[in-house]
Amino acid sequence: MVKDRDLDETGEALLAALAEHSPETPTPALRERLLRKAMRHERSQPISWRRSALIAGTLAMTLLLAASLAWGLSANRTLAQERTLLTQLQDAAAKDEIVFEIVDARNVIKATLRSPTDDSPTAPYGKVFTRPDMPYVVAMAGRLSPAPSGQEYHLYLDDRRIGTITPNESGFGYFVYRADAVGIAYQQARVVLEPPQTMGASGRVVLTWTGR
Amino acid sequence: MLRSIEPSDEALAERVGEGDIVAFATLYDRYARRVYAWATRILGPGDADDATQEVFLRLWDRARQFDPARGLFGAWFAAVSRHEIIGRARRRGREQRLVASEEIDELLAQAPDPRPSVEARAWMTERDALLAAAVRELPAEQRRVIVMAYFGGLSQSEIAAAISAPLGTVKKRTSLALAKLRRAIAQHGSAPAREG
Repeated sequence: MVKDRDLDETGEALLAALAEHSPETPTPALRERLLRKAMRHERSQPISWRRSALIAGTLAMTLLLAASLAWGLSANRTLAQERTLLTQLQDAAAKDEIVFEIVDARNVIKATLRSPTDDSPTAPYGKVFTRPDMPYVVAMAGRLSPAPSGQEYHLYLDDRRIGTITPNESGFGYFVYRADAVGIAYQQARVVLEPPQTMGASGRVVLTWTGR
Repeated sequence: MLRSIEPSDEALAERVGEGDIVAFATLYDRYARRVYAWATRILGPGDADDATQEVFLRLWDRARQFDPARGLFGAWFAAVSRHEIIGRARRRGREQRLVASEEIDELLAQAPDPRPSVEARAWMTERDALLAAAVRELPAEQRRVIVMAYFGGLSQSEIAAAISAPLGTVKKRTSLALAKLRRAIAQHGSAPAREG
């Protein structure tokens, strides 16, 4: 008899395989419904906690409920602000087929740009996608702060400024650039915050990636 | 070497245990397609939403029970998902689970979608792809029995009857498939922090 534990140990691989082969995707409505429900859902607690909660009395429960509601509202706002790069990319990409041509390609080459100063989970980050058989570069960044007045986020590939990333209200921005040739192998990518007319990457480096 | 700035599944699970709804949403983004695909195929599209929701509410409720010292989040969550989905499927009878798991086996025998959605692509790590390849590379007869056991929740006796093979053969094939998948999981190491 095969044990459940044995199956569960390998479930990760089997589920990854099924996901790779399946076109089914849950609807955004399911996600929203689930998150709303989770925030309302009473989490099971250890028995000792329940006893303590009973002893605490009605007043404490009322205060807890009020605090939970406040937390729920706050979490909702946070969620709205933290739309993933992916979701935003999908929204944006719907308008631009070339993004899919690059990002979805099996031969895509991807560079992940990160902040040189901020290693936290909420730090800004970026990605640059290229294909060896196409001249296009898809560049995107997330969690960018609004650019200060008189400054812009410029993307440099090697030493060449190729475009401007204009973040939306949630800090996401992307653009597609057509390179001069096919198959250029870039060694460095930087997002630099600097005045609009600057061409020499002389401003503050916000995101960076260097190839090996 | 490029370094991801995204938190690992294990770190997110710990935050979920503390009631972090943003971490919960991130884990949902990473794992919902897997659960939903399984639920759709075993339970049907009409019940897949409900089953998926229930699996993730279990995660929300029980994340504190996850202990990273005992294994990876992916394996733990696979067990949580299996408990819920197979539990529902068992109420529908063996025949439906048999047919559905045969369909999953046929699906896995095919080449993967050459043009997955942006969402699928973005959340699939290199490790996921390697594990999926390990499943694809199983000999057909081994993949078939492990798929029927895992996705369909069928016992080895039920599988033996379904494929008209001796029970000993089913046991051997299952054992070989499990060993190969375990090796693949060990070979490709622990789950890396995912990219955004």
